Amino acid sequence: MTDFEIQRRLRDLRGPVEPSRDLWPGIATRLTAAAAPAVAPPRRRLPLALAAGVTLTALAGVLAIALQRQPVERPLAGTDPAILPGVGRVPLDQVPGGDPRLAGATLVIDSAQAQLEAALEQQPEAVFLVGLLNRTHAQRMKLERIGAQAG
Amino acid sequence: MSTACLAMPLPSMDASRNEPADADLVRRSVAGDTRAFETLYRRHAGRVHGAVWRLSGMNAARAEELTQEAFVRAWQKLDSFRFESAFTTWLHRLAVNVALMELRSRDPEDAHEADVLEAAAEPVRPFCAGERGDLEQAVARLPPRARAVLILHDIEGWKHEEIGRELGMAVGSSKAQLHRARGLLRRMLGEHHD
Repeated sequence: MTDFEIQRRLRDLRGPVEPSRDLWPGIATRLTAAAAPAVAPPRRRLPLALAAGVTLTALAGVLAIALQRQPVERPLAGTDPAILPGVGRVPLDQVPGGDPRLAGATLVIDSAQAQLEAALEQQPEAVFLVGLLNRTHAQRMKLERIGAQAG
Repeated sequence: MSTACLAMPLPSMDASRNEPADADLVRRSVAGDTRAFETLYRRHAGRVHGAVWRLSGMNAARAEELTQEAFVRAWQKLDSFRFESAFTTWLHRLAVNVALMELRSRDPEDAHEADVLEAAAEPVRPFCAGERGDLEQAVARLPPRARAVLILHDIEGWKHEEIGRELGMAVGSSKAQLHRARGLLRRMLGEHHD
């Protein structure tokens, strides 16, 4: 048998061969699992955490500067300045100088720091996250200085 | 013996005239329509399964696993399909690559040695050269790399350059494997009686 003859007969083997059973149910199950993951993979959460961190850090900077220029006022009866709507509450003993004007900024900066630290745990090699975290630390220290001056 | 069966004759043109084109089904699948993707599966399962069935050495169970894997990967990669070629060509190539992954992961040198030992240990039992099933059995009994090169070159119509690239071997090695595969096939099909 020549190579040509072998090739000719092999070409006859070309063509569809149906599986012995319907494979679609198994495929469909895997597609459904792939389409609706129970938990997003950690790396996909990183940009969200990063965006939140950057936004909160920037907001904290603005708040800190704005609050630095505000006169001290007694809080209104029944209100607690240590509560920031939509963000949460921070105990006054954790606010620099115990100054209620700095409670919101403290909460925002601490939240940004926590998110950046979580993002850094997911992606330890990300140098830019370290830079952002350093900026957050610097803002926290600035807040401490403002609190000390106010006290 | 394999439990796979030959494809039924294709439906007539009249029956397929109103069916949506592959490109439409692909677009709907990309948008998340699994029913559209099921239609693509039903339309192309035979061709995909045929390719991976031959590459797996006509191993029915393995071929079914590979077929499922190929369609799942196709679903995941559908958004990278650029409509520059026919969907069936893209899908077929993807399926062949899925089937070759196992072979590719083996060290070429070790695989070569294993193939030689495997071929040397196999007693030569000639088949009846006239039957298609015997030819399939003979191809299935070839060492994996030699079988892959023979199928890709002589059945799928690939060039040695493509085979070498996909299997991580030199063009010369691909040619040598093809020569060896045909020689082994000739022996198994009873050439030694001549």
